[in-house]
Amino acid sequence: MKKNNLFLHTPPGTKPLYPEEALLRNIIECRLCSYFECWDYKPVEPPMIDYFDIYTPFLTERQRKGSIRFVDRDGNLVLLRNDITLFAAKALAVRMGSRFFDERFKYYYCGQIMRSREKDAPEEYYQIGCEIVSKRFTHEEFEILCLLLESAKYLGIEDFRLHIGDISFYNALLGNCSERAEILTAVRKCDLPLLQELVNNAELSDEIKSDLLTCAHFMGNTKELKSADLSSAGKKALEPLLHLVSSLEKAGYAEYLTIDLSELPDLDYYNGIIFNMYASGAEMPLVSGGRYDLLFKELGLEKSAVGFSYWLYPLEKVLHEKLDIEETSENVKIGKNSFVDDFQNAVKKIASGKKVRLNYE
Amino acid sequence: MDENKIITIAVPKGRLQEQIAEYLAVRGVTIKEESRKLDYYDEKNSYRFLFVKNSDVPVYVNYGVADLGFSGSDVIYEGDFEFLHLARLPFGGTKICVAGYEKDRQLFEQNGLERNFIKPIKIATKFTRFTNHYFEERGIPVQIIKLTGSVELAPILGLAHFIVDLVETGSTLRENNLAVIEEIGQTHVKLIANPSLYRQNYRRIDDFVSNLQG
Repeated sequence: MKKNNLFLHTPPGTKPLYPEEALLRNIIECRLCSYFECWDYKPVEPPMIDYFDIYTPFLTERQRKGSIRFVDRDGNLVLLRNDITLFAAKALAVRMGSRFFDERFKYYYCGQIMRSREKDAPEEYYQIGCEIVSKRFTHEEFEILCLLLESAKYLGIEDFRLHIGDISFYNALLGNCSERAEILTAVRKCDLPLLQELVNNAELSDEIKSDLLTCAHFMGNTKELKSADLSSAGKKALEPLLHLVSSLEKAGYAEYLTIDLSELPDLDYYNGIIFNMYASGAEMPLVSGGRYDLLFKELGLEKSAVGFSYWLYPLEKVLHEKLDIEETSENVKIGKNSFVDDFQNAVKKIASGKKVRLNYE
Repeated sequence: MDENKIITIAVPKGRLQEQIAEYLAVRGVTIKEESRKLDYYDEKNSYRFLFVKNSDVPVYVNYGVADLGFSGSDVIYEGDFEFLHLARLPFGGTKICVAGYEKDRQLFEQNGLERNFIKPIKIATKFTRFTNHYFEERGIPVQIIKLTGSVELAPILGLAHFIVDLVETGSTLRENNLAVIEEIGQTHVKLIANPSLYRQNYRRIDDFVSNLQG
């Protein structure tokens, strides 16, 4: 590309934010971060790059291919951050044993990642999220979902629903079934004809086959799921999810919740609930999250972990008309009298909490 | 979520559009293509149909312009987007084949056995992702040349030894003195959905899918 063209363009997948966009992002970030701090979550800042080899077990083939890697000065292959949860978990895992960390650690983060979405060039995304890591969980999943739902309301998102699934349900039913990966992909893609074929050919009991076909496409509330025709093994495997969602319904969140057993992760480190938040006006989820103890296990720690991330691009799309980014500033003329006096006058106003726009005569 | 929202469905223009329109007509859903109009609104059912180029259907669905789309599994695979595959239609399916001159059959088979990385066979195709994946999985070295139309010309003009293309009756191949060397896949016409948009309106979309399968 000619030098002039290089000046006019940014590399594919990146985009500068101009004032009104940056202001909107800033407002969202400030609101969310201060809200998370009200719940006593502490900020963490994962590094922008890290050693690639550490992350290879956790990345899908698509993520591996879509990531940006390069060789550092010492000849190590490093990865540009493509998943904040992953980078934060690794950063925390190496410090978890130290006295600075409580047994239960709650943290939030915000920052960019570079990730290739489908076949396109790597794209720059911005995530803001919360996580809880603890030796054992009691009501942490409930807390994280409450926090998510409350933060969505706090931001002013109006028409949204949280779809919650549970990979542990399928893990319990499928065990070591050799077609496990293909069956899970068919469930995730809601490809019922393919699922039927796979299940029919799998070495599974008739009861489990029936449970899989009944549940794979289930979307509804706890009442509807409880009335589904399932085997005792199927019902037992759904108990944790039903208990969690029932508690949320009791807490007054029923109108925002859908149990969705086709919600499955494409990453192997999730081991329990998995959820996405959808809202009118966004063609991709606003929030993704789930339970991921296996990530810490792979990093050498016996920990439970759950969390979520807001995706800023769809969130901004939903909120850009709802949030008022035009904040009024008081005009202060500079140069009308002594410009030094005028500046001092402006400084006083700013010190008293006013916003000031300096106008030069 | 707005349950009364119009459902937008991308339909590939051409022969498949006619087949889809016929299939839906007997299920009480009308698609009328008025000349030069690029969409049609079925007021009775609140469905809006967009008539787009076959290969663009996945793009419209991925970016949320359409909630749903009818598309061949070959086109979906080449697009490499994440979709929900809600239904498979009972028509429009065909084979994906390697084709070439009959005299070159031995070259193809030999290449599969010998795995000649120094001089790999050349294959021209529209389906580069599928072809690449197919041969890569089998460890067979090939050089893939992307073409977007009249793929049969490639062996005739010496651009490639073989082609990978959809074969229905094989008449186009025969007319050009080419033959199927090996069948390497099957395609189906599928109804795909944008995962987020589907979940925003799944009850109405499920009704559409049930009607489609009924």
